[in-house]
Amino acid sequence: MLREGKIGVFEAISVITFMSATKVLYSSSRALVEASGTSGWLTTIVSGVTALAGFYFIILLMSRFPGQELVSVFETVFGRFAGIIFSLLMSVFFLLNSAMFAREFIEAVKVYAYPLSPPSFLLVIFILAIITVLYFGFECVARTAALFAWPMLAGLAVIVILAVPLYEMSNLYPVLGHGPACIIKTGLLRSSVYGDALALAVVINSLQGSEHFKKSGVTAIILSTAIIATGFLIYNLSFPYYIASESTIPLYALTRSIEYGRFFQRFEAIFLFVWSISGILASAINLYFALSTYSKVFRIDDHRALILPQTVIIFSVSLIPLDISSIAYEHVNHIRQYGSAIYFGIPLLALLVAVIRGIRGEQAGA
Amino acid sequence: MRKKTALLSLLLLLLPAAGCYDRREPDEIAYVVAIGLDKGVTDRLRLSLQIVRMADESGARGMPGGGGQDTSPGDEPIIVTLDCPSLFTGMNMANSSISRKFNLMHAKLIIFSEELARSDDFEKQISGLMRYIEIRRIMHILVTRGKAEDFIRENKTLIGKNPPKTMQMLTDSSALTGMIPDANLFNFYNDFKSTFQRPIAILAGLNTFENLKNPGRGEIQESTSGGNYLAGELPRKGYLKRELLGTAVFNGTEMIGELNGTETRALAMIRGEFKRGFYTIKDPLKPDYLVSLEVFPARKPYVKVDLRGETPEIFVKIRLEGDLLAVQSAENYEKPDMKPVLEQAFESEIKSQVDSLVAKCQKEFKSDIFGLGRSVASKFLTIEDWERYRWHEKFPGATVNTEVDFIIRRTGLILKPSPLVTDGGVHK
Amino acid sequence: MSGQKRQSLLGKLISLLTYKPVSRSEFVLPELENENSRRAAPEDKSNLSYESEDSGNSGKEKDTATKKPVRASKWNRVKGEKGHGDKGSRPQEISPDVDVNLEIIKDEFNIPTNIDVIIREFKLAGMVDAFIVFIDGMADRGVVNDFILRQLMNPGQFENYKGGCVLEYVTGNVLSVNQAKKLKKYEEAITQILMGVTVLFADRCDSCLAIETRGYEKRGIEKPATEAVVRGSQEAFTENLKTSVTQIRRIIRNKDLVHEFFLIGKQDNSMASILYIKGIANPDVVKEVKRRLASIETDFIAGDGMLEQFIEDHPWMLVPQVLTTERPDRTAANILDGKVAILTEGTPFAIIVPANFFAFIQTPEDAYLRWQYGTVLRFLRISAFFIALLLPGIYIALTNYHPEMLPTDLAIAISKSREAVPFPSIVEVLLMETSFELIREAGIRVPGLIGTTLGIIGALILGQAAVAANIVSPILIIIVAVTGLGNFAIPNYSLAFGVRILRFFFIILGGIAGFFGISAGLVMLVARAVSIKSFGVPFMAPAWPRAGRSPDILTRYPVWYQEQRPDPISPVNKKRQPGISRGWVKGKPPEGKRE
Repeated sequence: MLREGKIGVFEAISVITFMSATKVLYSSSRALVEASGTSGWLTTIVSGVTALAGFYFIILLMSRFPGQELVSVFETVFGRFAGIIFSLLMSVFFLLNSAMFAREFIEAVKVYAYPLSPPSFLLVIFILAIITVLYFGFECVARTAALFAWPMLAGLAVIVILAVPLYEMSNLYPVLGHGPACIIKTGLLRSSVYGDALALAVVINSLQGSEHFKKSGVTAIILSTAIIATGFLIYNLSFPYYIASESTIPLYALTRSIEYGRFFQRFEAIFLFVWSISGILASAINLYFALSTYSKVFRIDDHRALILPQTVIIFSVSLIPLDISSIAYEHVNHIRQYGSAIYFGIPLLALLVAVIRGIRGEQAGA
Repeated sequence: MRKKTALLSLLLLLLPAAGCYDRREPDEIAYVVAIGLDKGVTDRLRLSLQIVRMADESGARGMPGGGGQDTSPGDEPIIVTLDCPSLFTGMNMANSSISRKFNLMHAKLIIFSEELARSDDFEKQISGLMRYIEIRRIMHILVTRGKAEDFIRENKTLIGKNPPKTMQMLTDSSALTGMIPDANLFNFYNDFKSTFQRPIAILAGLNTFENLKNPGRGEIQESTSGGNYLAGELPRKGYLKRELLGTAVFNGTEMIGELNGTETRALAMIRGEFKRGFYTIKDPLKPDYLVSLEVFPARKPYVKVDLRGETPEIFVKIRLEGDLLAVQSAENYEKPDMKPVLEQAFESEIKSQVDSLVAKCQKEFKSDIFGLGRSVASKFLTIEDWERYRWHEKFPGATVNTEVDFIIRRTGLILKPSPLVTDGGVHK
Repeated sequence: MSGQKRQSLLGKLISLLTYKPVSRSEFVLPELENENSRRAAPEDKSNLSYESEDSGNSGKEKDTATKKPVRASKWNRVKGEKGHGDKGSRPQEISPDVDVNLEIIKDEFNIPTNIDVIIREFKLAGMVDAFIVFIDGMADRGVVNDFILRQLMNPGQFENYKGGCVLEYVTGNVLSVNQAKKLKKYEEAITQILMGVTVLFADRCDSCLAIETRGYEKRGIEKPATEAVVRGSQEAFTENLKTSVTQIRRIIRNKDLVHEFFLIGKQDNSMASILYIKGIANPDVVKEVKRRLASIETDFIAGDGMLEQFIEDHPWMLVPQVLTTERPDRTAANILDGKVAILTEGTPFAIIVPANFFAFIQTPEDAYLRWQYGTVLRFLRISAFFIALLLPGIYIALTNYHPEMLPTDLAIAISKSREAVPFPSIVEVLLMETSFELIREAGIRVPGLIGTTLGIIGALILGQAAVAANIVSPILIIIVAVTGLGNFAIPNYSLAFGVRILRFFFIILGGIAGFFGISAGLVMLVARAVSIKSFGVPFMAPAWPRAGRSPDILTRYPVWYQEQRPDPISPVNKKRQPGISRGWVKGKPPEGKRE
C-alpha cells in the first residue's frame, strides 16, 4: 500500500485550502463576477454553504466505513468493477483540474509578466517544481503546503490592506447584483469550487482519526469560502460592476492599481510570488491526489513510478486548448459547472447505494 | 551512476539554454514618461512619445560627484512624433529610429488634445487602450487646450534632473490645491463606462506669458477666488509654459466642456476628494479687505437622496474646516461671537460656487460628474432595477440642494490681532 | 707538471665539448604487486619491508616474472587466511611469562626502531621480574618516577606479599595511583599504552596492570574562536576529550549525565564520547546514535567534521543535519533539552543530534540576554538568511524581467548606471559573486598582520576601481556586499556555506525565468527541506510538521515561560519547570515593605 505517513489538522487544512482558494487568483473569478455583478461575494458564500452540505454527505459516507478510504469505499459499495470506474473518474478529474490550473496559470503569467516565453518553457519549470514536491511523498506535500500557508495568507492580507484607498462602498450598490434568484442559482452551480474537500477522503487514513477528518474538512471549506469571498469583496469594492467583468485576472488588475505616492507604487511583486507559489502547489496537490487514487485502485506500492508519466500527461493535456478564450469560456466553465456532479454527486450516490444495500463497514477494531 | 549524472546535468543545462525569452537588459529599454495623442493629419492618430534620457551627467559613477555638473537647464526632453493608425503600430513605427524598445510601463501621463477629446474618435482611443499590459491604470490623464505635441515639448525638468519624478509630482498638486482633479486612468475608465457618473480629466495648457499684462492694460477683477482661469490663461510669467489648471468634463463618449480652477475645487468638495486649499474671500465687515483661509474637509460630504417624487431630490451637505491664514483688516474674528460671521461669509461663498457648478453641469453639460449617482444607486436592490432607472437621463432634471458647513479651528500664530492705528494715535 | 696542466686544460676543454651522460638517482615509487585488484586486503604488505636496502632484506621482487592473475574469490580466501594469520600467531591472552610478553610487546611496537615507546625493566621488590611500557611524552614522567617506579622498587612495600600474582598485591597495597585496572588481553594493553597509560607486566601473572599516567602537552582553555558572545561564558572546548567532557560535567552536575566512550577508526583509534542525560533523552535516539557510531569502519577519523559526515542522514544535502558547536554551555543546554552530544578527540567541537533548522538560527547569546533582544536578533538573522539566499537572484529577476515592479526612479537609476557596463546583468552578477568568494577564500590564508588591511583595502579599492572602469555598476557592489554580510550573519558555519552555494542556484533560476523561476526554486527547496530527517526528527520541526508549541523557535519567550522541553525530539521527561516558576509573583513582599 502507499506509504502516506501521518499529517495533522493544520496540514490537512492547508492542503485543501490551497486547492480551493487558489481559484480566486485565476480567470474563473472573472466569470463569476460577470455572472453575479456586484454580489460575487454573496454568490460564493452560497456556494460554500452548498459545499458544506455536500461535504456532510461525504462525512456520513466515510463514517459508515471507518478505517477505509474512498477508493476502497467505492469498491465495497459498488462492487469491484463499478468502483474502479468511479475511482478512475475521480482520478481523471483531479488530473484535469491540475492540468487546467497549470494552463490557466501559464496563460495568465504570460499575459501579465512573460509575454514572449513559449508556454512549454514555463510549463517545464512549473512541472520540475511539481515533480520535486511529489517525489518525496504525501507528507512532504502536506508539509510544504503548511509551510507556505501563512506567507500566502499574509500576502493576501497585505494586498487587502494596501488596496484600502481604492475601496468605495458605492461600488457595491446595487447590493443584490442581478437578483437573489440569480445569486442562488449561480451559487449552486458553482459549488464545485469547494468540492476539493472530497480529496481528504482519499487520504483519510493519514489523518489521525475521523474527528480530524470532519474538523479539517469543514474548516478548510469555511476558510476557502472566507478567502474567496474576501477576494471578491475587495474586487467589487474597487471596480464597479460594469468594469469588473472585464479583467482577465481580476485580483491582478486590482494589485496593479495600488498607488501610494511616488515610491510605494508597484506591489504586484508580492502578488506574483503569492500567485506562482499557490499555482504550483495547487497543481501539485491535485496531481498528487490523482496519483494517489490511481495507485490505490491498482494497488501500486510506490507512487513515484507514476510521477513522470503523469507529468507528461499533464504537460500535454494542458497544452491542448489552443488559446485563452477557449480555456476561460469553455473548459473552465464546464469544469466548474459539472464538477459538482463528480465531487458531490458520486459520493452521494455511493451513500444512497450503501444505505439501500445496507452495507456497512467493519467497526474499528473488529 | 556517472552516466546518469552526466545525462541529467545535460538535460538540466538545456533549461537555461532554452530560457531567457523575456529578458531585457535594463539598458535596452527606452522608458516613455509621457504619451501624447493628437488627431493625425495623414493618418488617424498623431502620437508623441517622450522618453527619458539615459546619458548620464558625468560624475555619477564611482567617485561621488561634487557639484559642478553641466548646468544646462534640465535635460531637453527627447520626443518622437509621428502619424500612425494606432498607439501600438505607432510604437513599432517609431522603433525605426530609436535604438531601444519602447516601454510604457513607467509612463506617468497620457495627454489627449482637446480636438481629439471632443471628437468621436475619443471613445475609440480610450476603449482600445486598456487591454495592453504596459498601460497602467495609475497614469494620469490630461487634456490639453492646443496640441499634445506642443505640450510635451514644453515638458521640461528645470528644478531637478529627474523627468519621471517631475511628471509624477505635477499631478500631485491636486492634493495640494484642489485646482486640478485627481484623475487617473483607473477612475477615468471606470467612469467612462459607468452608469453612476461621468468621467473627468485634468485640463492642461500652455501659457504664452502674455496674460501677465503690463500696467495699464488690465483691471482688477471682482472675484477673489483666484482660480477663475482655464489652463493657459493664468496671468503669470516665468518658469515653464506648461500649466495644469481646471477640469475637462466628459459625457459617455467625448469631452463636452471645461471647468476652471475654482469650479474644480467645488467639484472636489462635492465628490469628497478635496484635500486642502488656500481660499481668499472678502472680509464680511470691511469688503475692501480680504481674508485668507486654509480649508480642509472635516468629513466626507453627506448625501441624502429622495426618489419618491417625479424627479430625484438630492441633498448634499459639505462639511469643511479651516485655519485662518491672513486677516488683512486686523478684525478680531477669533472672538467666539465674531467667528460665525466669518464662517457664514465663507459658507455662502462656497455655496454660491457649488450651486453655480451644479447648475452648469445640469444645464450645459448634462453630466453627473459629482458621483451623486452612486448615492442614488444605493436605493436599488438589483442591477436590473438600477439600469432601468436610467440615472443619466434623470440627472439634468434633478433637484440638488446644497449646504455648506464650515468651522474655523485654528487661527495661526495670532490669537488676537491688535487693530490698525490711525494717524491720530487713536485705535480704529 | 706543465704537461699535466696542459692536459688538464685540454681535458677541461674536451670535457666541455663532449657529452657525458648524467647519472641520476631519482626516487621512484613502484607499484605494489597485485595492486590492481581492488579487493586486496590493505594490510597485505608482506612483499615489502620497512627496512632500508642495506639492512639486508631481499626486497625488489617486482621484476620477477609476471604472475598469472588469480580469480578474485580465491584471492580473497587466500588473503583472509593469511591476513588473520599475522594476528593469530600472537596469542590473545597475556602469558604469565614476562619474557614472552616482552618479546611480544617489542614486536608489536616495532621497538627498537620506534624510539617513543619506552620499556623499563626492573625487579619488583627486588624479586619479581617486571617491566613497564609507556610512550614517552604521553605519559607523565613524574608520575611514572614517583608513583610507579619508586613504590614498586621499594622492597619495604612488599612485606606482606605472600606469593601468587603480584599484581593483585600491588594494586591493593602498594600503588598509590588513582586508577589502576587489570587487563587480560594484548589488544587492550596496546590500546591503553597508545593512549598514554603505563602498563605493568610482571612475571607469573597472566594479566597486566594499566596505570593511569596520562599527562601530555595540550592547549589550555581559551575563548571560543567562532562563537563569540558578549555576555556569557567565554570558555570553549579544547582538543583534549577529557578536558571537554570535564567542562560539560562542570556545568551539568547531574548524576544521570551518562558518558559513553567509543573507539573508532582502525588505524588511529580515534576516541569519541557521547553524553546524554538518562531519563530525559529519548532512549531510541541514544540507541540509534550508538548504533551508527559503532558501525563505522574506517581508517582515520580526523575529528568532528569527519564523524559528522559518517553519521548524518543525508550526505548529499547542502544543509547540515547536526549542530556543531564550540561552546560547552550551549552543549550543556542542548543535553538538558534531551539531545545527545558527541565529542571527539582532536577538534574542539561537539556535535549535537538531533538538530533542526531553527537550531541553526539560534546563538547561545539569546539565552543569556532578555527575551526581547534575543527575539529581535533572531528575526534579523532569519532576514539575513533570506537576503543571503535570494537577494542577487531577485535583483536579476527584477531588473531583467520585471522592471515595471521597480519604482520609476529606481529603474531609471539602475538603467543609467548600467549604461557603460559591457556585460549583461547576469554575467556581471556571476562575476562579482565569484570574485567575492575568491576574496573570502583568500582572506582566510592571508597572514595575520596584513589580513584585515588587505580585506578592507581589497574590497574597497577593488570595488571602486571596478566601478570606475565601468566593469560593474555601483548598485551591484552594494548588492554583493549586502549578500555577503547577510551570509556572515548566519550563526552556523555549515549552513552559511550551504546558503552560499544555493544562492547561485537562485541566481540562475532568476536569470532564466524571473520571479516565477525563483518561486519554483523556493518550492523545490522547501519540498526538499521538509522531507529530510535528522536522526528521526524532521528537519523543519517544530514548525512543519506542527509539534507542540515551542516557546523557543523563532520568537523567544521569557525564560520563565518555557515550561516544556522541545517536543519533536520526544524527550522522556517533558516538563522543565512548573507553570509558575517565579514563586515571588504569587506571594507578596513582607509587611512594611510593600507599596
